[in-house]
Order: sequence, then structure tokens, then C-alpha cells
Amino acid sequence: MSPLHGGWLILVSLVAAMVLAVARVEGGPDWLAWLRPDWAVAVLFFWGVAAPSRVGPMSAWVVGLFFDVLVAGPLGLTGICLAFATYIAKRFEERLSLYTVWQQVAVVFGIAAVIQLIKRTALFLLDIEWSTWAVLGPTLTTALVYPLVALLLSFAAQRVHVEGLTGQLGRAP
Amino acid sequence: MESLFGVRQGQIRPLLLALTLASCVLLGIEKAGVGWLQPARSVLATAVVPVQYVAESPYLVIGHLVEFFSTRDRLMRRNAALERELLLMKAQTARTDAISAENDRLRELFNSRARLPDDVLIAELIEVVPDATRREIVVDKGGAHGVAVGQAVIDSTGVFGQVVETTPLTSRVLLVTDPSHAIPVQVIRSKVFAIASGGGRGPNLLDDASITTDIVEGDELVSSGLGRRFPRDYPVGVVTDVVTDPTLTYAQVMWEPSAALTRSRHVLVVLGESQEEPPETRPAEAEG
Repeated sequence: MSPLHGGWLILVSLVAAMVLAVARVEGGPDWLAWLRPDWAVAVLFFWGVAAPSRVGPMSAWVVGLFFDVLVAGPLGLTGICLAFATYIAKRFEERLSLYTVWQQVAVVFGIAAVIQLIKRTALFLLDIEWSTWAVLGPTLTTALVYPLVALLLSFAAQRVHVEGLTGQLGRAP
Repeated sequence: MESLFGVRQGQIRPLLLALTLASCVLLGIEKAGVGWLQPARSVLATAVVPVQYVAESPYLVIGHLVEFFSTRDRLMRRNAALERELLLMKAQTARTDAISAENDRLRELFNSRARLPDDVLIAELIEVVPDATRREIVVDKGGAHGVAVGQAVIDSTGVFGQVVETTPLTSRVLLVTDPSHAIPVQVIRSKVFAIASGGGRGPNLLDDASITTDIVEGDELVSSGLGRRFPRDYPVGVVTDVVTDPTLTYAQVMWEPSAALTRSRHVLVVLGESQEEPPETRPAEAEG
């Protein structure tokens, strides 16, 4: 058994999400920022469905604090968004794990839309300019990258034997 | 059929409510602007510094790689060019020194304090805040290096912005083009004072230029030093367009920053006026 029962993979995937949350294209146009997927939502949603015993709203909320300082946002905002994504994933885990990846994409789209609305509204109340594109762009791209995230993480999760995998992933490969 | 909001999550919903409440409290504190969360932010921000370096590594590494792989010939040519530039700069500085000495003598005659040169610190960019509606960067010098909130940040061509948050190792800089930023300026040609606001995604405007104010396209703006946050006489920007509508009280004056905001990797943090005492004993806001 690998250390932390494979939990390090969950940590690594979250750190990767952090890096991708601030990585940039030098000299790229402004609107590129509106196409940045909410990687953390995709990653935590995946783990919420694939290994619901390993992640929860509480841990997602704490992870959110790190994202908040990373993107220089108000503390607690990303936390509640990630907690919401994890909650939905865990709550409907049995149903979601039976879904095809495209059905999951639709769910991720809905979650991402709600999250971006919460985020932009909160930022607007904290005197940061409102931007409709900042709601629409990340919602779309998060849904679009989800299959890729799910593919990579499920492949890795089976390789390193993350404990607590459910559904199709839990069965012996 | 299992009901939609039925079984197996008895613990989770109260938890989600508690977390929502916690987030709302934190956001409320943030909105109040009392700074209670600063210590926590500082700790968390220190923890994510490695992530910032990894994310920025392509650009941090490229500089070194270019140096590593450049030929001897190219390095020599570059060296020669830099030496020429240095010579020119030295000559220019010598002239400026003479003028500034003369200026100090004149100020003495008027019994006003001589202006001291500013202490600066070179900092490198490690993150651009990923939000298209904001203009903020994070640099690799923080409280441990003497950076404090409110200090001005410049680059070789003009005013960059100001420090709005410091952690021991990094600090966050609000650029002059951020929509929440404004800087007191003076038009060099006509000596008119104004306030230059950032426009974010839109054009940057001068806030309080009435239609009769003597500002024309091409006018250079320098920091006026009013408000004592920014040092005087650093270039801020150039007026790119003046729209005067006789039915309005104010003219729409657009300006572009002089600093290479999107291209500079290295910036200078102005620590304050240099003094005789060693830097450790100097108070953060160096004013006598």
C-alpha cells in the first residue's frame, strides 16, 4: 500500500489545480483569463464521485483558502464554492458514478455555472468589476476539460491504488 | 425509487450550512476592511509561494536558458552594447547630479528641505493575478526585505503601481491601470494637477479635468507627489486622447501608462528616501 493510502495523488492533483489556476501565457490577450477553467472544481468533483470517503466539504473548504490567497481573492470565497461542488458530488455519488462521462459533464456545467455566479456576485459586492464573460467563460471551459481531468485522474487512481474508490473505478482493473 | 433529498447525508447538510456561514463571516470581515485576516493571509500566502514559482517557472527558466545557450560572440556584442549604454547613462547621471546639487542649493536659499534620493529594491514578478477585470501582480520581495504596504513600485520607464499587501516573502502590487487605482499627477507642459485613474479593461481616464483645463494629446504626466504616497516626478503616462463635449463639465482625457506594465519582469520597489542610519533602525514610513 502506498503512503497515505494513495491520498498523495489527491493532494498532487489539487496542487496541480493550483498551478493551473495561476499559470499564464506571457503577453496573452486579456480575454484568455475568461477561458481559464476552474480546475479545482473539476478535480474535487471527480474525487467526490470517485472516492467520496476521501474528500468532503470541510477539506474542500480548507483547500479553498489556499486558492483564495493564490488568486488574491477574499478568504472563504473559493472555499464555499469547492465545498458546494464536493457536496453535490458526494451527495449524488451513487447516481453520478453510473452516469456516462458526458452526463457528468452536464452536471459539472451546472455546478460550475452556480459557482461562477456565486463568485462574481461576491466579488461584485466587494467592489470588483462585474463581468458576464467571467461567469460564462470558466463555466464552459470547466465542463469541457472535465472529461480530460476524469480520464487522467481515473487512470492514475487505479495505478496507485487510491483507497476508497467506488463505482467502476473500485473494481479490480 | 429513492427520493431526491433523502438518505445518507444527515451530517453533510448542517456542515455545508456551517461552512457557508463561516465563508460569509470571512467575506464580511474582508468587506469591512479591518485587516483582521491579514495574519492568516500572510501564513497561507507563504505556503503557496512554491506553487507561484512552479506556475511562473517557464518564464523564470527561459531567461536562464537563453543566457546559457547564447554564443560567446553574442554575449560579447551584448556586453559592448551595455557598456556603451552605461557610459551614456553615467554622463547623463553626472549632469543630473550637478543639476540636483544646484537645485538643493536653491532650495536651501528658500529654506526648504533638500530632497533625498530614493532607496530602491529590485523585485521580480512571480504571478499575475488571474482575473481579467483586475490589474495586479505578485513580486518576489516581501516584508522580510523591507517592503511595506503603500510603497510605490516603478520600472525603468515609469510608475508601475503600489504595494497593497505584503507577506514575509512576497508582496502584491496594484498596477496603475487597475480600476481601483488612482494616482495624483501633474502635466509637465502646463503644470496642471490631476488624478489619473486606472480603467481596467476600458481606457484609463484623468478624473477631474474640466473642459477648459490645458491638457492636449501627447502631454506627459508625472507623479505630483501630492498625498505623499508616490515619489515626485516619476513619469506616469502620456495623454492619448482628449474628448471635449461643450455640454459636459468635464473633459474625457485618456492616458496610457509609461511603464511597460505587461512586459516588465523586473520592477523597483521604492522603499522611501534613503537616510544616514542603517536600514534596520529606520521606521517603515521614512519621514523626518
